Parts: sequence; structure tokens; C-alpha cells
Amino acid sequence: MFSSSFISTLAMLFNFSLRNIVRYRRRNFFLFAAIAVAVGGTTLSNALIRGWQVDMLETAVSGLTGHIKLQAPGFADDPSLQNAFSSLTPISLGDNVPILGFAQRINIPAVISSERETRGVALVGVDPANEGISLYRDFVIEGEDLGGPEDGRLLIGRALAETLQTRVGRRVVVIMEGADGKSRERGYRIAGVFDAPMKISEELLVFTGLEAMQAALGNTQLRTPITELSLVLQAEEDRGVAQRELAAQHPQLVVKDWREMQPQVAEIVDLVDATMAIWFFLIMSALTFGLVNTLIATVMQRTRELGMLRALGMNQRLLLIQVVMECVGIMVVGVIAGLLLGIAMVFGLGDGIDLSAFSESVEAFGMSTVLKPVLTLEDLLLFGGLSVLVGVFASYFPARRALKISPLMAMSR
Amino acid sequence: MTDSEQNSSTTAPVVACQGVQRIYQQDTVPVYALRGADLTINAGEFVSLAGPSGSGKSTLLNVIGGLDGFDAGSVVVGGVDLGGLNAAELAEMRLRNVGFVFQAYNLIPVLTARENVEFILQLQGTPNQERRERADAALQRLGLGDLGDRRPGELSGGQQQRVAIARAIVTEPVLLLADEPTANLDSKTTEELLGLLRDLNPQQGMTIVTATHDPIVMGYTSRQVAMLDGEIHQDSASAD
Amino acid sequence: MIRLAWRNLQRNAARTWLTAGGIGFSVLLVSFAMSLQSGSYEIMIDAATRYFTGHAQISEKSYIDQPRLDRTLQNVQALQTELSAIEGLTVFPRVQAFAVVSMEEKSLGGMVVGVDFDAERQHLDIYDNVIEGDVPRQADQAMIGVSMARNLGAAVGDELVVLGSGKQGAVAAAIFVISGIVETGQTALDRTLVFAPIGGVAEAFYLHDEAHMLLLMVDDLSQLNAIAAQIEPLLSERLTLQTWQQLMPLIEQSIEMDKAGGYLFFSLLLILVTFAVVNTFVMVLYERTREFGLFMALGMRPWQVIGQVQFEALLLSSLGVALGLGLSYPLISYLTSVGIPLDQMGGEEAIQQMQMGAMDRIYPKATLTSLATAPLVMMIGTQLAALVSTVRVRGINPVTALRAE
Repeated sequence: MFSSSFISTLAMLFNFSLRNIVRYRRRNFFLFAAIAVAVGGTTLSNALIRGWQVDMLETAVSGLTGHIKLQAPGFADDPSLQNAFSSLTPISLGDNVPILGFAQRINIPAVISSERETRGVALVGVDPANEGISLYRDFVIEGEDLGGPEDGRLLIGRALAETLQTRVGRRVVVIMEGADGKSRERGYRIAGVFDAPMKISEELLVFTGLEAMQAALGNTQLRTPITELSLVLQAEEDRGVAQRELAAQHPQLVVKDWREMQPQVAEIVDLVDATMAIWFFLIMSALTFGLVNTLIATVMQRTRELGMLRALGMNQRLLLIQVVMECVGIMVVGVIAGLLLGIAMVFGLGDGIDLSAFSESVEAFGMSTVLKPVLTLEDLLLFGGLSVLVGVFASYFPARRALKISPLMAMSR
Repeated sequence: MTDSEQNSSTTAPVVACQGVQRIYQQDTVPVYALRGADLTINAGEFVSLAGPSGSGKSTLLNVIGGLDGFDAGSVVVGGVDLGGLNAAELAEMRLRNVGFVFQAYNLIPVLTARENVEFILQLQGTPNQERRERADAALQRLGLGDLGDRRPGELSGGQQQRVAIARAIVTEPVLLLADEPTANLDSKTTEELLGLLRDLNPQQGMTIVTATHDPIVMGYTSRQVAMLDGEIHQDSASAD
Repeated sequence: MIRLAWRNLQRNAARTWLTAGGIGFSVLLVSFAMSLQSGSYEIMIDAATRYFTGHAQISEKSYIDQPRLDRTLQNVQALQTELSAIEGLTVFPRVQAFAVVSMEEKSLGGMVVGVDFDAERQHLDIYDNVIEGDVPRQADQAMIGVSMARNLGAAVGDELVVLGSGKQGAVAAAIFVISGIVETGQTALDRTLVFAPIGGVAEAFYLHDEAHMLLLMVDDLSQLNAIAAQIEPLLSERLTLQTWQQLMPLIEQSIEMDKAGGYLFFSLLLILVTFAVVNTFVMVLYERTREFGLFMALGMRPWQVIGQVQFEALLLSSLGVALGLGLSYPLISYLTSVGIPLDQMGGEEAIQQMQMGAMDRIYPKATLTSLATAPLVMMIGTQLAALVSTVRVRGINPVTALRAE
């Protein structure tokens, strides 16, 4: 369809456009600056928003949720050992869906009392060795960590310790529902007090050894009862496949992914993409005014030159191609400058923005207190590419002007 | 009045205009730029179109070059009847048959002299190697052999106009149209340039039509046509 | 001079309208977004405070960090009567105590909140979310959160045993019949809350004319600080008054964060539009070099040329601002009366997450700041843009300028 001479004509037009862009660089300097600010600013804000999104997702998943969680069907309505299931090890999803790790737990409501105060908490029996996939790994512990699944002591949060007015080494009483459905009361010694990134985990979570907890709750028909298995994949995108596979392997259990378990977070994560798109759209709309303005001017200023090209016998199609090429070229230069500017700003932020002044609200949004911008190549390419598309769109107006140029205009003196 | 020309020529005329009218609407008033001009130009002629401002000489030149349309009459250039052509066909006609030289040179400022000359060959789809050779040859012929890499801004007015002529002749058009080509030049440069044009004329059998006020230019041409009020007023060929 | 400036602007009408359009677009966007922000902040504050917390609370100072049962306000009735005399203020007491809530064999940790239902219901929205049954009518009735009901397997009509430690360490016990179940949308509340009439709770925990907090609701939120100042001198040393800003730092910080994000967006937008305007003037100067040269050849001074362009800039930005405000103001006014429904925009879960309670529409609010910021920035920006691009006329040599293309 394209003869080689047509392609070499395009090459010539490209060369021509490039030189025009260089020629008018001073005149268009502020247009480049405007494009660079638009693209650079969008890149920065996108990186921040993306950073927020990644952070929220990580926080959501690294709670006790994981990418995927398995529970017995009745557990949601009656969170007790009556709705436990037997340990599922080993777990495999085949080579195509690599697993980062999984943890089996007993997680039931309980009441914890010191000699002074009483609170409702979630008592979680864990094997600390398997909790590298959860928020457990981020704990800063005063006193001792749990020694293993057989450790019958407690690890409680800093905030809870303060409320209960207790500390490492002291004893507390825990009331929980045993395997037989009856309440039982048991004394525990506090092995350690943990500081967690979020205050709510410090208030709500109390950990003990899984095996010790199984023993404390009494016998069920199950040999090694657990109430949940939480699993983290190497790639979050695999969660759909993994969910289906696990559901097939364990039809007696409820298999949910993190989006179902944390719908608020999932919704915010989705809103983020929309926010980025709206932000970009508005910025680019504003830019389009300036862009179209300058592009029309570049055509108007060169009316005679373009008229001459027509007089020499260049047809309108080639003239249009030339105008569009030039507009897109201007955009590309500005976009590259903008992307570099954006990348520079992101690196300038380096370790992220300290949001500790907003600690309460960032926690409510499920974020940690340092917002680290995240630059992905896909975002850069996507928004860079879309910006260039804006250039194509904007070139419509100067192109329309160029169509009105008659060869006679070359004759003006 | 052009019968003698047609008869004396063995080949078909390069330009044949008959009863050409061009009417512009200025506001609602029609302005007659051409009121029925008849002109026939044969191969190898070097014709000057003279006349005061508004006489229609530029309009006639533009019509012959296919830059402007006309409202009545017929115009045939190089055997092609321009009357029935659309914009794209006119562009193609200009590209193949006509070379232009403008008063304001109209070189592309961002391209070098050689690239300016090559540009039009590129539009014609000439292969790279040949394009380069022909462009160099054209520049050589106009005495610009060593200035091919300069940009228009780095050339004097006379040099720029010579580049423009090189650009016009490189495609070997049947007709070269020049609209006030020397108006921006001093008299010495004008003489040099006209000498070059006159040399082109017999060498290549190039037919040249130039619109001008300048008596020096008319002195170089082989045939002088004077226009007045949109009509041919005097023609040295028919006066002979 | 106006006429000359206007003619010059008209000379390139497309450019003038595009530049004014760019200014107008940014003014429209920024003034609308800022109005939306200030409107949504107000409604956020309103919805959040009306939900459960109130506009302000009075409590014992040490209760704030360590909410212990014995840290109470004394002589509550007298204080309540005294405060109620203040115009535009409503006061109601609450007692709260942590306790073990049991039903049959199941026990959970819960927070028992004793409230004056008749009073609170008129002012707070949480009671609109009773999904089953009704609020307690009698002293031995209670309403619990939906998660607690599920965890206990409890339904309306069931009996709950509440066991805690009362004042001075005595065992506090009470039996409540569940009259209703409430779904607040916040898991932490739904898991732990037990609402019961204040009289019954106070009695069970051995509290006499005592409360843990007095909730304050004002008729007009903007009067809150004035009313708070009126109250302060009435309070004893041991007591403190916290307004919603201190009670719900989340809301205030969310607003600050949102503002910060907004500022980033606005400044980005305004900077880029200003740059585009600078570029317009740079082009104008290039095109009119010859004209300016002519003016100067005729004896015009450079500053007169600059002044002329400044005037054109003023006209241009005024046009843009008029365009932007002309569109945004009616839009804001319209939406201020109608409101923007949130449920159609999705994000309900996100709103619940933010403790927004009963917030279903937001109403933009036009303030001087929201309407004037963008026009001011754009007008100053345009003048500077024109200045930056025309200072060069001082260097114009009339002779070379006249020859310029």
C-alpha cells in the first residue's frame, strides 16, 4: 500500500517537521514548559496516588487477610471452634501459580481482663514461623516473641497493654469459647508487647501459639483444628486462578479473595484508577487550549511557506501529514521533558512524604504514615502515549487551518 | 492576434489562453481582474508580462500556473486543459509541468539549499540517488555548486533567488513562471540573474513567463506583452 | 485605549478565544472544585458529628486517655440544666462501661453505653440505622450492634447478661432484653456496642448523678467556638471540653489531606495555563515586532508599548475570568440547591469507611475564597505573562523591526 517513495517522502516530511520544531524552539519555549508541567505534574501525582494504592493494597493484604482466605462456611455467623476445619498442609497450586506463603490460624473473639480493665479482642493462635506473610513480620516487640506454635504465652499490642495497664511478664485472664461451645477462662502470661504500624491492630489483636491454643480450647473431632488459612501469592493477579483452584480442591470451605473480604479497600483501589484518569483528563483539557492556540499560530505564521509548498504541487494530504507530524512532534518533545521532570520530582521525594501529621486519617484510609511514590513503566508509557494522542487530537485544528491555505498565498508579498 | 505565432510554430503551444475571465467578488461588487485575455506562448519563448498594478498580469500568471481558477474562457498548459481539473489534479499539474519563482524567494527556511531543491523531486517520487545528482546538477548550473549545504538565511538575496530557480528547473518543467523575480534585488544582481534565465532559455528550450514592472527585465526577454485593465494591451510578437 | 486593545484582541479572534477559553476553563474547574470541596467538608463534618460523637463533649480530663469507669462528671443534672440555658445548645449525658456481654454459653467483650434515647434520637443519626426491632423503651431493654448479635447468635427478644466491674471494684451485673439491632456500618462499633437507657446502666454500675460525658450539639456549627468559650468558665478544673476537631482528628486530617491534594492539582493547572498564556504573548510579540517597531518609529516609548500590551492582557484575562465564572457560578448555585447525589457515584463503602454515616448528597458551597482564588491567580499570571514577553520591546530597534517578517 505504501510505496517506498511514499515512505521516503514521509521521512522527508519528518525531517522537515523536526527542523521546524527546533527552529521555533524559543517561540514555543513556554508551550513546552506548559506541556512539561502538565505531564510532569501528572506523573508525580500519579506516582503518589499509585503509591497510595500499592500501600493500601499491601496493608490490606498483609493484615491477617492475605490474598486469599479459606474459612468454614458457618464461621462468618458463628466465629468459634464449632466452625473449624482440619489443617490443610501441604498446599499446592501447581507451578503456574507460585505461592509466597500461607499461614493457618485459629482466630476467634475473646475477652481479655487485667486486674483493672476488660476488653474484647481477637485471639489468634499462630505459628510465628509462618507469619512472614502477615503484619506480624512488621511488629516491633518489647519482651519476647512467641517461641513457636507450642508457646502458651501471649503477645499483645502496645495500645491494649496501656488500656489494660499491664506489661510484659504480668498475667491476664482470657475468656473464650471452648471446642465444646462452653466459655472457659484461662490465665496467660504476657511474653511480649508489640508496636504495629496501625493502632487498630494494637488494640484488637492478641496472639498466642497455635498448638497451645488448640490444647487450651479442648478436643474437637478434628486432629489439628484451625479456623482460617490465609495465603499470599507471588503475583496478586493470580488470585482469580488460585481462588478457583482452591475452591475446587476444598469444596467444603469458603474461599474468598481480599477484594471480597475488604470491599472498602477494593473499592478505594478501584477509585484510584478513576481518579488518575479524571485528573489526567482535566489537566490535558486545560493544556489543549494552549496547545491548539500555538499550533494554529505555527500554521498561520507560515501561511506563505505552506502556500508555496502547495504552489509547488504538494498535495493537501501531504500538507496535512506535515502539520500533524509537527504538532505531534511538539507534543512529544514536551511530553519527554515532562516525563523527565516527573521522574526527577519522584526521585527528589526519595523516601516518600512523611504523613505522620495525618496519622489518624492515613490509618483510616489503610495507609502507612510514609507515602512512597510508585513509578511504573506502564503508567509512564500509558500517560506519555495518551498525551501524544492529545497532540494528535489538537492537531486537528491547525490542520483544518492548513487546508484553507491556497497556493495563491505564496504570492503575497 | 496570435495567429501568426501558432502558424509559425511546428509544435503545439506551451500555453494557450482564450477569452480568460477572472472575476473577484469584493464585498458584493464584482471586480474584473481578467476580462477576456488571449495569449499563446510557444516553446522556447522568454515572455515578459508588464503593466501597471491591477492590470491583471499577476492574475494571468497565476491562472496559467494553475494557482488560481478562472471564470470563463479556456487555458491549456502543456497540452492539459486546466478548466476541468480539481484541486488535486491542479497540484499534480503544477508538480509535473510548471516551475515557479517568486518575488520573495519562498525557500523553506529550515532546509538547506540542496534540500530545498531536492524537496520537489521528493514530491515527484524521484529515487534518492537520482534526486541528489539532479539537485547538485541544477545548483551547479546556477553557479551554486559549493553553497548546497547552506540554509536560506545564510545566503544573499541573489543567491536565494538562484536556489529558487534551481528548484524551479530541477524537475524540467515545460513552463517556468516567475512573478517579479527581481523586485527584491539590486540592479547588478538582477542583471546576473536575468543572464542566467536567458541562458537557460535556449539551452533547454525552457519556456519562461515573467510578470514584471522592471524595464531591465523586459530588455532581456524575447517577447514583451503589456496588459491593461485585464486585457492584453500590446504584444511585441504581434507588433513585429 | 480600550478600543485599541479590543481591536488588537479581535485581530486574531481564534487566538483570543482560545486563550480566554483556557483561562476560563481553569477558572471554571478550580472555582467549581474549590466550592465542591468547601461544601463537602461542611457536610463531612456535619455527617460525622451528627452520627454518634456530637459537636463537642465534656468529660473528666483523665478520662480522655484512660476511659476508666470511675473518672466521671459529678452532679450531672445540675450541670446539664446550667448548660441547657445557653441559647442554641443541646446537652445530653452518657455513661459508658466495658463489660463482658454473654448470652447462654457465649461471651464477648463489649462497651455498654447508657444514653437518653428520647433526646439523642432527635439529634443523632446512628439511631436511623436500627435494622431490626426498635430503640429501648424500658430500663431493662438494650440495643446491640449487628456483628455482636451475629457473634452471640442473638436476636430481638433474647436476654443478655452484662458483667463488669462497677465503681470501687464491685461486681456490676445487669440483664437486658434485646429490643433492637443496629448496623452502624463500622465494624468496630457493630462488634462491641450495647446501647441501654442511661438510668439502668448507671444503676448497674453504681453511678449516682454521674456521667462519663456530656454530649453537646449546637444549632449552628459556626457558633461552636463561641458557645465553647461561654461554657469553659462554667467547668471545674477537672473537666475539659473537646470539640469535634479533637474528638475526630480523622475528619480534620482528611480535610487537610484532601486540601493538600487539591492544592497540588490547582497549582499544577494554574501554572500550566499561565505558561500557555505566556506562550501566547510570546507569539503575539513575534508577530507584532514590525508593528511595535512602527509605533516606536512614530515616537512611542517602550513603556507605552508595554502598557498597551498590559492593557490587552487585562482585557483578555477579564474575558477568560468572566467566561469561567459565568459558567461555574450558575452551576454551583444550581448544585447548591439540588445537591449531588453520592450513591450514583459509587464509593458507598468508601464513605462508610470514612465514618460518613448518613451522607448521601453533597452540596457545593460558593465562598469568596473558592470563587476568587483562580480568577486572581489567572489575572496576575496573565499580566506577568504579558510583561515577561514584552520587556523585550525595549531592545527593539525600529529600523530592524520594520524589516522583520
